[in-house]
Formats: sequence, C-alpha cells, structure tokens
Amino acid sequence: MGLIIFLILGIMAVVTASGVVIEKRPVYSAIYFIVNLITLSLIYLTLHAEFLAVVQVLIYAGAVMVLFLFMIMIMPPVVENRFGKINLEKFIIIPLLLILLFEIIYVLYSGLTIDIGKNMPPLSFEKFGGIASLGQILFKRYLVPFEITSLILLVAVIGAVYLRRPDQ
Amino acid sequence: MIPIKLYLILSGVLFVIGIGGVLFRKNIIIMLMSIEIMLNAVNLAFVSFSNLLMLPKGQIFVLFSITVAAAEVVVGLSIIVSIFHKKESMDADDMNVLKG
Amino acid sequence: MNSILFVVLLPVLGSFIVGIFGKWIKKSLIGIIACCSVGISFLISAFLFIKIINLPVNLRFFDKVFFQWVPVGHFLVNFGFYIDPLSILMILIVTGVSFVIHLYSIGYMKEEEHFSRYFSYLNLFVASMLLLVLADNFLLLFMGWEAVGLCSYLLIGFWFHKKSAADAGRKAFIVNRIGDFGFLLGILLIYHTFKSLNYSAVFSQAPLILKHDNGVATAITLLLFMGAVGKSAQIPLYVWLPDAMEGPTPVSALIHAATMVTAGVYMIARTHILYQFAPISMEMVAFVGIITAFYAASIGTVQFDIKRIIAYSTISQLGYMFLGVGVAAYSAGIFHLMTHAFFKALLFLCAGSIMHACSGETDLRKLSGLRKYLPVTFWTMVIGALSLSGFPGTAGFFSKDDILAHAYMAPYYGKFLWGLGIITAALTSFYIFRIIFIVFRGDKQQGNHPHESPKIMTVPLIILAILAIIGGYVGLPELNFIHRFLSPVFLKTSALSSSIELKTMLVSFIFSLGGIATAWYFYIVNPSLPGIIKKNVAGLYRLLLNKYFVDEVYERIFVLPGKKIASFFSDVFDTKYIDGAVNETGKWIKINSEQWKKIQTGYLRDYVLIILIGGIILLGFFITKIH
Repeated sequence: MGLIIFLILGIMAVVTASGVVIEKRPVYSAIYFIVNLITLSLIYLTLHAEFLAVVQVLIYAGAVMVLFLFMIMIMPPVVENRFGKINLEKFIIIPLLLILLFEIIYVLYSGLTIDIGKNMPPLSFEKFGGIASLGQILFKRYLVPFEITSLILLVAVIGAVYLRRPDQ
Repeated sequence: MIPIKLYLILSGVLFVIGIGGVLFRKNIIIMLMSIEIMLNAVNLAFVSFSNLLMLPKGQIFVLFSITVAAAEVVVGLSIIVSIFHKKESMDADDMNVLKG
Repeated sequence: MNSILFVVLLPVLGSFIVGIFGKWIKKSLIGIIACCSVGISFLISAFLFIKIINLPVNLRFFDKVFFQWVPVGHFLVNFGFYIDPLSILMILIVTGVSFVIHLYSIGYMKEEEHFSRYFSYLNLFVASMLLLVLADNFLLLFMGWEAVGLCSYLLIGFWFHKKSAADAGRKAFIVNRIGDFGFLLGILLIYHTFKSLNYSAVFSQAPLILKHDNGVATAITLLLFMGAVGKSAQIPLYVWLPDAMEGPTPVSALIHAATMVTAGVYMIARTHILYQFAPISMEMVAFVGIITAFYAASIGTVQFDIKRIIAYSTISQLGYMFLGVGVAAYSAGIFHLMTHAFFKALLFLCAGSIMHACSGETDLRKLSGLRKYLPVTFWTMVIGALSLSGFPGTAGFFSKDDILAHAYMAPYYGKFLWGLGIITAALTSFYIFRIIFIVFRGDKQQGNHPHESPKIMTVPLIILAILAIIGGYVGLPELNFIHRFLSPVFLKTSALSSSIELKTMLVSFIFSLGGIATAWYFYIVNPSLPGIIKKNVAGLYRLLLNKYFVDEVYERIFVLPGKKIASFFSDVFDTKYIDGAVNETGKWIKINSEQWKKIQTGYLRDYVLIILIGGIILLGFFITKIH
C-alpha cells in the first residue's frame, strides 16, 4: 500500500518537475511547480516529517510561488526562442545529465550498502517529526543558527528594497 | 515499509531535471524555478536521511534551507526586475556583459 | 589574596582612563587619578605584606590562578600570580617608589603639553612591572618583561620630536631585543626540558632533571642571563642606558634606576633554583656583574652630564646586584635592589630638581654654588650620595657590604671579586661627591636664577631621603630581618661569620671615605689638580671620557655593516630581484590571460555546464574511491 502511494507521488513529482522545465508559458510552469511542491510535501508526510510538510506548503507554495506568479504577471509576455542556439549543445547536455543520474544511482547502490539505521535506537514515530520534538532541538541546540536565519531574512528584505529603490 | 533508496533516487532524478531546466531554458524566471527544484530535491534527500537515521537534525536543516531559499528568491527576483528594466529582456543569453 | 589582582588592575585602569580621556580632563585631575591608582595599589600591597608576615613561614606561598591564558593542546599557560615573600617585597618596592615618583612628576611635568600621555605611559609601566614581578610562569613573565621594555621605549622617546630622544628610544629597544632574543630562547628551552612553563612545575622538576644534565642547566641559565644583561644594562649590552637619559628625569628615576633595570636581578633570584645547577653560569653572572660595576664606575668619574653620571652609577650598582646573586647571596642582592631603588631614585629626583631650578641644565661645568638656593635638594642629595657610597648608618652601607662580604666568601675567586668591589666603592663615592662638590659649592654662575622646587617635588625627595637612611636597618647584620623574611624563598644561602663581615665592612668604609676625601681634595681644596692629572694621563682620560669608545666600536662592528647589508638589500636586491620577480610574474600572467579570457563566454548556460562537468568528475572520482 505504502509503496503504491509512493510510486504515484513519485511519478507525479517527476512529471510536474519535467512540466516546469518543458512548458513554454511561464505561468503554466509556475503552476506545475506548485503541484510539484504539494506532491513533495505529501512525500514528506510519508517520511513522518509532518511539520516540514506543512511548512513546505505554507512557505513554498504559499509565499514563494505567489511571488513568482506576481513577477510573471508584471513582466510582459516574452517570446522565448527556447532551443535557439542550443541545438548543437543538446547532444552534449543530455548525455551529461544521464551520466550524472547514473552516477547518483550508482553511488546509492554501491556506497550505501550498509543500513546505518540499524544501529540507532528505535524512536516512536509520533514524537519524531512533530512540532514538539523539532521545537525542542531548534530552540535549544540550534538557537543561534535560528536567530541568524532571521538576520538573513532581514538582510534579504533590505537587499530587495535597496535593489528596487527609485532611481536617483 | 518503502526502501529509503527509492526516495533518494527520486531526489536524484528531480535534481537532474532541475539542472536540465537551468541548462535548457533561457527565460531567467524559469531558470530560477529550476534552481528551486534542485533545492527541493536536496531537501528531500535530507528528510530521507533524517528518517533513515531517526535524527531530527536533518529536518532542522531543511527548515533552514527553506528559509534561505525564500531569501534567495526575494533577492533573485528583485535582481531580475532590475535587469529587466535595464535590458528590456528576460533572456539569459542577453545578459553577457561578463564576456571576456 | 584575591585583592592581588587589583594591585595590577588599578594602574592599568588609571593608564586607560588618563590615556583615553586625558584630553578632556584637567591636569590636576590627571595627576590625582594617576597617583591614586598607584597609591591604592601600594596600600593593597602593604596590606598583603602585613598579611603575609602574620602567616607562619612555610605558609607564605600562594599560586593564584585567575584563568587559563593559553590552552593549546597539551600546552597550557595560566594567567596566575605567584605570591611569596620575594614577589610581595618587590611589589612593595615597585608600587612604593612609583607612587613617590608619580607625586614628583606632577610638579616636574607641570609645564608639559602632553601631560596625560606621560602619566598614561607611567601607569602602564607600573602595571607591566607588577605583572613581571607577580607572574607565576615564564610566558607571563616574558609578557611583563616586554611590556616594561615597551613603556621604557615610549618614555625615553617621550619628547620624540627631538632626534636624540627618538634615537635613544630606538637604541634601547634594539639593544634590548638582543637580550630578549636570548631570553625567549631560554624560555623555549625550559619548555623543551620541563614540558611546562609554570614556576612551580619547573622548579619542582629541576632537581630531578637537571641533576644529571649540567649542560642544559647551563644553557638555560646563560640564555636567561642574556635577557637579564639586556634589560639590566650589563656588559656588553649596557650601551642603551646612558642614552636613555634623554627621557624625562622622573622616568630615569623610576624605570632606569629603581625598577625596570632591576628586573634582571629579580629574574635571576626567581630562577635561582635553575642557577644552582649551573655553577658556570653563576660565575659568569658574578664576573659580568663585578666587571660592569668597575667599568661603569670608572666611566662615571670623568663625565660632565649629571644624569649620565648617575646612569653609569646605576649600571655600576646593578653590577653589584648581579655580583650578589652570582655568589648565591640572593637575599643580599634583593636587599641591595631595594636600597638602591631608594637612593638612586632620590639621586635622580635631585638631579631633576637641579635641572628644574636651572632651566634644564645638566652640564657640571655650567653648574655651581647652588647650595644656598636649593637647601632641600642639597641635603637630600647629600643623604642619597652618602647612601650610594656606603657611608655607615645609611641604607647603602648595609646592603653593599652584605654583598661584598658574601663575595669575599665566594668559592670562586672570592678575593678578586671583593677587591674589585672595594675599588669600585671608592670610585663610586668619588664620582658622586664630585657632583655634589661641583654643583653645590663655590660661587653661583652668572645668568642662572635658581629657585627651590615646589612642595610637590621636595616632599618626595624627603620621603626617599628618609627611606635611603632607614631602609638599610631591615638588614642590620645581626638581626637581618630581610634575610630571614626572604630565606624561605631561596634554597640555600651561604652563612656569614660576623668577624668577616665586620672586617669587610671596615675596609669598604675606609675605601669609600677615601673616595669622598679625594673628591673633596680635588674639587674643594685644590681645584687645579684635576686639570694637571688630566694632562698627565691624557690617554686614559680620553679613553674614559669617550666611554672606552664602546659606542664607536659597536657602530663600526655592528651598525655600519648592518646598514650596508640593509642598503644592499633595499637598493639592489629588492629592486632587482624581488620587484623584478613580481613584475615578471605580472607580465607573464597578463600575456597568458589574453588567451584564457576567451573561456569566459558570458553566457550563463556555459558556466552552468562547466559546473555540471565538474560535478560529474567529482562524483566519478568519489565512485572510484569507494572501491
């Protein structure tokens, strides 16, 4: 049962991701991307990362993608000469990508033979991905990095405002 | 129980698709989206390993990476807008002032 | 015992406050802050001293660690203070004399524009000196050692717009570098031998490790002694001290007479456990000490600059101290260090008072007949001079004779050391009374309008004069309080039979009296005599007047070749080879980059492609590594 759900979700993720890349019209690309993100958050659920699943939908699908859509709408529609110059390079790029994929899978199947999880003490799944357990770690062990991320966000906001300041 | 390797392979496939997007597309917004796909692929790997090792650290990492991604998108989009105002184009091939 | 930290911290604080906010503070307040910081630290020291005295003898040792200073792997150095009778006595001397000289400085430097800079340096110096004395390990000692050197450099060159002062500061710094080089090597060798720099660890292991290895002990102690020679101005590195008189006179009194230059003596007394295992080094210390004492005193007899004469006198007296520690009479050496701090500071301050009265004149040939105008200075200076010449009843008498008696008993060439010491004593009393007779007797010269210094300057003179007399009574031959107080610190000190002590005392008294009488005969009774002698032994006179031409010899042997080598490297080697290499590299890169820059297509896609290829190669490399 779990395998079937995963397969459906995985195929959906691959299809939507390919959609982002292949689709000509940017708006459609963006919508594919949103679907892709939601599928990913569902996959997170199967991995018992409930909090992350929620965050994924809220921040990525909710905030970031809305930003993208706004951008696409503000910009005038662009005619993209998609494969204009690339025809020649296509024959290099696609084999290279396939080599990379092959290498990744090869590493997974040869390098990851040991099952590291075996030595770990079993942890109850209810506690694992929940807000409580994450919060415990986040606000104790990783408090300083957490505060620093807030600084990064602040810097990003200031940077964005500065970049789009009225021209002198 | 689903083998964790399947998740990792899915993550790899998504990553390669993301690279393909950056390489093939010329619309700079789509390129940015492809980069986001790559980021998400890495996040997926993080979550998978976190599940494998039963360590919540991996999820914390993803949390940070989402934050950074959000910041990156904000700055990236504002740079794109700036460039657009200057070049009147969204084509990455038009932005070649770095040419030696 | 925790309050020991404040002894050091207060002067640091004073230095910072005065140094940073000095611009906005009134001069009077600056003086009060600087004096108070040292004064309070003196009170704390005195309080600690009383506390220590009330403890049983074997409980008078503390190693107070405040924090780990340098923890690097197995190498651990603490920031800690070592409190024992020796260090407590030293901080008492340092803070006490410093306080008095701070007071004097307020009056002496009243007209100075950079009043706050002066006091900031002076306070910093006190703090560094205390750090040096209190350190509980060699690295902290070295830090204090270098910090006092820095302050000395800053204060010698205090009037840096004057070329001679700036040069003198540089000279002091460079000459000290030579000594410090040896000192640092010594510290490294100590770490190599004992795997620790802590006093307690080193000294407790010393008997075990050094017993079978005299060579290492000799090497360590000689290297440490090299540092002491530099800092305490002994032959051959003494040349900086006479020039250091370019600094303000209170600085000469504090740094170049009473405290800093005695650091070498203190260091040897502190590390005497190592010296015990190196008899060769001990002999070396004693010989360098006595030869320096004689040598400097002989130069002092013919010079004309008051401050320089007193500076040579300081070198000479430091030689006595080294003689003391060199013949294992550590407490005698420290005792002389203490009394010397009193009377030499007094003499310098008197010289300052004379300069103050005669608009900065230091040339003996232009000074005379000042007794009527400077009564306080006259009487205090006489007391200081008597103490320096070892007149019975004064502080110098007890301490100098303590050293000479121990030298007489020394196992190696005792009679020779003692004889040269006695002759030096005669020279000492001759040159110091020469100053007194010339400056204070006779008729006043035209053009000067001398006036006695204000209270703020005369009171320190009086305090020091009192100390220069009563300071010696702590070392009265039979009771010998100071010896009993310090003896737990030192392993063993040779005992003296009182008959020998009495004998040597009598002889040295006769000699010093002879020196005074000669000075009196030369400059009061028969003032034409010096001129006649000058003509008869013109060669010797010129040799002494030009300080044995040592400065000239050093200039020829070290400075000129050094300058030549430096100019070769700067003019020829640097421009031709170093600059040439740089320029050629630049040209080569420019030519090459014309070709390589074509890689930069400017297309984003191409960069991504290159990154991708790089990633594939890296991953491939990783795969081959798996198997």
